[in-house]
Amino acid sequence: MPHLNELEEQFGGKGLSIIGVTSEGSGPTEKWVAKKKAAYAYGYDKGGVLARELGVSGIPAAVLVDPSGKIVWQGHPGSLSANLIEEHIKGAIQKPLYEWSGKAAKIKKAFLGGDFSKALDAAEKLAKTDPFGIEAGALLQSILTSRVASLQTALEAGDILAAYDGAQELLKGLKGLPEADTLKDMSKTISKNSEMKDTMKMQKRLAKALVGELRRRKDCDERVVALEKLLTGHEDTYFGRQVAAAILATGEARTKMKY
Amino acid sequence: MGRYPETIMIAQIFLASAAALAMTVSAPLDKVGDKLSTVVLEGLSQTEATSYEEYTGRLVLLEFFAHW
Repeated sequence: MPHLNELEEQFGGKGLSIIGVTSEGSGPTEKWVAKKKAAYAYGYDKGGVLARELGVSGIPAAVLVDPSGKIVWQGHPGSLSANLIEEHIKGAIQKPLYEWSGKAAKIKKAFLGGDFSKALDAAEKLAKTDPFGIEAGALLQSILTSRVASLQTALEAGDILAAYDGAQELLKGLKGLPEADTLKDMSKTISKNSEMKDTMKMQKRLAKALVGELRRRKDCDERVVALEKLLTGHEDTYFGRQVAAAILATGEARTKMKY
Repeated sequence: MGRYPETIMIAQIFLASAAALAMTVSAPLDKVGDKLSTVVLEGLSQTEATSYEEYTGRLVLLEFFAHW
């Protein structure tokens, strides 16, 4: 896609990254990339999981994700304008994480390992000798704040399991940070609330019901029956909407199967 | 009973469920405003990145393509 090559050339240094996503095999993909002279990164979405999650029903399609991880646009890649990119590129880091080397590599390693305490500490140390440490520290703090806020939003919406599990996971890397107290309070709130605990149990059952690959229509039908049982009596709740969405997704998968 | 009674019964249950739910749940066509959850991309190529997480903090355009 020449249009996308141009966009990356124009905005790559300012904070834009383009990633081609395909659920096809490497053979035809590599040939296609070479033929189209696509110069940007690409990766494989095994089983089309990401495409399904984003509701991608036609190809080509594109989704623009801002530096905080929020989806800000979706449509045909050819219709993406430079103006739209300029609108959302503010706040994006100019040096992507995979280019963080030397002392910054230590920050990256801690962050990718989920250890915000260590990463922020390393950024603070680097900031004493290299201004990049300030940028890295600000990015880490913004990511952490955003993650805590996402968990609070999940809890408020009724996704108790996501909020609780997410908090436990994030807490592992928050030693000595004030955000740890926020998440401990959130976990306590859930643990002491019987209604939330019941919802969490149901959400665990839903997660279990969604395990396993759907290969044939029969698999889809069996899953729908199991999901129907979970839905009964919960139609008007957030959990009910989660189950309903899973039933619809299963139905959609079924329509694409021959047998 | 027909030749495939179980299949028909399951299909009926499925269709009834889908019809009922279609009235209350909208298809996930427009995700603008949502936070992107965990992204797993295998075999990242033409980049030094080894995982999507290494694009954290960047403005990212995901382009879904197929070779045909």
